[in-house]
Amino acid sequence: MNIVSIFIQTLVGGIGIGSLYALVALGYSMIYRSMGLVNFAHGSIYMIGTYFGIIWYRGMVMGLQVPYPIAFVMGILLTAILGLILERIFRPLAHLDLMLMLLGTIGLGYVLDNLAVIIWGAEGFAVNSPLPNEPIVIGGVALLPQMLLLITVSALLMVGLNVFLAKSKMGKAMRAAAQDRETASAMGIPVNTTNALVFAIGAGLAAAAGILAAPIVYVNPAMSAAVGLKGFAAFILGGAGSIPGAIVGGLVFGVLEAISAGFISSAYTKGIAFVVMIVVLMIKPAGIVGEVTVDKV
Amino acid sequence: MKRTILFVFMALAILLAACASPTAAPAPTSAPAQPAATKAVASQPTGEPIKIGIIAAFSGTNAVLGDWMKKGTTLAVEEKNKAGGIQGRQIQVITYDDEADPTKSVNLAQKVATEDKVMAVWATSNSTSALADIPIFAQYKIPQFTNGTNVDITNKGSAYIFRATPAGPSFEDTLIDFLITVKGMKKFAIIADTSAYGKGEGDYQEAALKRNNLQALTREAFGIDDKDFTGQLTKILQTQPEVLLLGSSEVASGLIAKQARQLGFKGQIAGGAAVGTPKFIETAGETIAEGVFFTTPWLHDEANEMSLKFVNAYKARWNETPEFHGANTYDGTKLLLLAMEKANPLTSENVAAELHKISGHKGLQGTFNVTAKGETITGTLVGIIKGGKLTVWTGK
Amino acid sequence: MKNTASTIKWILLGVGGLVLLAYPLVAPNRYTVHIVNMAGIWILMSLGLNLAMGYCGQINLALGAFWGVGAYTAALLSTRFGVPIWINMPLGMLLAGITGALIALPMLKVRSHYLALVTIGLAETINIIMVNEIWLTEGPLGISGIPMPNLFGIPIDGAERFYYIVLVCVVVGFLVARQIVSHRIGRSFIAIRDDDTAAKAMGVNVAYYQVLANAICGVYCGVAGVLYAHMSTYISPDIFEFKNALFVLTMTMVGGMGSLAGSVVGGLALPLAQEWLRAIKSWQLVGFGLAIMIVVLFMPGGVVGLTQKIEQAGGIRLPWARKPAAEPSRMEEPNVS
Repeated sequence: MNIVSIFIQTLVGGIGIGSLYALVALGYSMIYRSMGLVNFAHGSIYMIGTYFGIIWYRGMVMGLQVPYPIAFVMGILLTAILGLILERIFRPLAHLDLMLMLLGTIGLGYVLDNLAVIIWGAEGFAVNSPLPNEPIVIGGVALLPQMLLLITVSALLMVGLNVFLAKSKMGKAMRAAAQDRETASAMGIPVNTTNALVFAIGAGLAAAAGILAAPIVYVNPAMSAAVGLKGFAAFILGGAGSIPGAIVGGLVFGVLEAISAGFISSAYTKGIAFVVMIVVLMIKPAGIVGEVTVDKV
Repeated sequence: MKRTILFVFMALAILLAACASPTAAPAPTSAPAQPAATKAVASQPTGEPIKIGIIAAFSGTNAVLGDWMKKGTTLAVEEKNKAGGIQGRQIQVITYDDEADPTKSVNLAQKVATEDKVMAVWATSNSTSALADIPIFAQYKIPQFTNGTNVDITNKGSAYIFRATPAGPSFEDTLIDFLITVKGMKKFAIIADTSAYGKGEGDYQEAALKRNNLQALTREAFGIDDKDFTGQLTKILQTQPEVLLLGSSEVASGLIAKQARQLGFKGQIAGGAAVGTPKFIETAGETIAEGVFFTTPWLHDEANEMSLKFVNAYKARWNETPEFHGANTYDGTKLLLLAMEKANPLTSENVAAELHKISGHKGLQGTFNVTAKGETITGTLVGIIKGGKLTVWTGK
Repeated sequence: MKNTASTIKWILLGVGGLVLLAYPLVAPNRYTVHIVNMAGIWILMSLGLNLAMGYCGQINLALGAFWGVGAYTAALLSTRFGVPIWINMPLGMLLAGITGALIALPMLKVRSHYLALVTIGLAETINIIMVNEIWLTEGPLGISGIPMPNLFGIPIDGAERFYYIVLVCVVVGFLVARQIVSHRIGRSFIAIRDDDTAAKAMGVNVAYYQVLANAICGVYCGVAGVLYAHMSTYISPDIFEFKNALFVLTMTMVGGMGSLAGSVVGGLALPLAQEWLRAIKSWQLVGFGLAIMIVVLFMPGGVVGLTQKIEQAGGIRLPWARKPAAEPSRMEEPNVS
């Protein structure tokens, strides 16, 4: 293997895990820009979403085993419905001080995490890949089908989301509501309904990330903390509320981790990623892409 | 401003008063066969149950370790209770969840020692929590069993700590000597996590290699939460090792094995106790786990009568197949019960003294000889994963 | 009338003081004393957080790191050089205070949720250093055999005796915090919290006070760290992880952010509640999460804020009533249809 393919190989790993962070970060961002809510329970929603999809794939509900694509869609839909319910609970939180918001959403995270332990047990399970486990090797670089699926579907979801927000009537309403709630209200846009939909989309994206990554990683209730924190880091790093920011932030964070593991110091992987992130924020205090200003209330 | 102080004082006083009230003690979960200690029982001290505490993680990533500890111990205790208990007294198991957090573990150690007044305790399978609890049980002279493998646990000068399974170096020495002398391998690479367990494993692997005048080509680390190891593995593969040594939990080991194969690693994969578990096979997948070497203190052997009896009893009680954690807590509890029988009068201090006298005791993992430091057994066996099953290596 | 009120006050103070002094003697067992000692350590950290966050408005989630710096200072000095606790204490406070000041530096540029993340990131990085710099910290396995203190020839070898050390630290810590709050420093803190632009216009050196607030927070956590190291005689990096910083944040908010009494109430109530609720296992944590949400949604001023509300609603003055002060600033009132 030459140095170029070693580098590309490391990069591919980083992009894969980075897409996962990006999808989670997108959820943070969507909810933030529309409601002004920093949702620290989003990691838990990601975990619940993963279970909501994988339980069908593994036949854990009444022995009903469904193919992966159907389980994928079912998981997203169920989590989106959960999002609709959660939005109702979170709505009053969005008007509070950041610290109250942080604590309230963390409290909800506790509830979700421990309910998952009670329902599905703390131990967790590995998930079989629906695609072949044999990697595709191109120029010395091994590409895992499931990883490619994760990257591709993530990219499609991100593009789709952008198109939806830019072109569709609903998307435009969402953007209007996010930018100026009162004017949007006055123009007849049902702000609370659009917020609920935004929340549902955010939750659905997290579920998509989790179900796509499940065959690569391992599913247990404890998975919420690590990805929740890194997704949050990606959301901030890119610029809170910014859709491209979340994507850039996620990819940068994932690639940073992979590069520091492969080329600098594997023991300090997370530390290096965090330090670089802090330095970036010191230079650009509103993130790489920049914050999308939120109109609260 | 005086009023603030007053408010604080009131609050303190009320809370302390509440804290001092005996109702604060919750009913412990007990082995199902045993009713909780009641006032009536307490009036006749000879009939009062003997308590064995379990402090372990029952939630979070390591929850399964606590679960196995409870199952192995409860099985041994229930067998003893059916046979009449100890000196006519029944034995009760009390479990507490320390969430693998040393501060919580210390709280619970104080609780079992001074509130529940246990005779002996299992605490814990998490090395840092076990270490945090050592001074407390040493102070109260309560025998403390652990199945954590970190070698430092028994090096703290306590006469009350016992390890019911071989220490970490015993595992890695067996494995690496086997790979070098039997399989003729020379080029090793290590990947171990940065937790107390993973770092210990990596260190013992390095020490075993050094004893054989070898050195690892590279040693890479990762955090316990990590799921993508491409960076580390790509780096390792450049050094072209013959063997990839794993030093981490069951799940992380399984993920690494899987990703290493997917990145094109063709050599041998091997690891310590965590690799010799069904969880590793499940995580890595059967095809990838095939041919992986591991080392373990116990594997079910149909020909061994004791092993067969244990496996059947365990299956009947818990509806699952035991692995070595269940076996070593069963073994350790058996040692404990043996010492309890001999202790006269039955105090926790005497139980510890009797434990130190045990030698030549046959258990599932082999022959137990308790040392002054609290080691009870050495020696592990090499196994290989074949057809999705953990099997003893029999020489091709 | 005034005299009776003041007499009642003094009687209450006296009884409260007596209960505090006599507690270890009447406690049913050492476990309950240990839990209260541990609560004292949480209270100290919560006081520090309250000064930095409740009064000065500085979001800080790096408490675990300050706590750890204090604990590691005491552990290393006492195990390697035999340094006694009364020297470790000022050194631990100093080093943790410096860490606090250093972590405050990004605060001068970064705000709000960005700042929350930066402090988490710095704390994680310090934790990774504790795990990996084995020559200094002895790695993930931590440091064992930290001696219990010996003061004036009296060995402090059990939770009952250690209780008095903790008590002195908490009382002194509380009184010092009270001084800080009523002093010019405290007024500057509040001015910065309420509106830092206005504070700057009024001539308050905002950057200086921001650093100071976090350094003070560091010092409080440093005391807690030194106490913890000498009390438990064992420390490891996993103790100082993010989750425990979160626990302190939770207890402070439940007690009342922006109220020193809130720190005491929250710091005692939460650890004790956690111990009592152990019997219900997994549901305990679900209940814990629900309780947090209820506090946030229905009593954002915490327990202390609630007592003020009761007074206002009923037009009464509870004996411990105080001047209405800081409730965490709400950005807007929830009035959206």
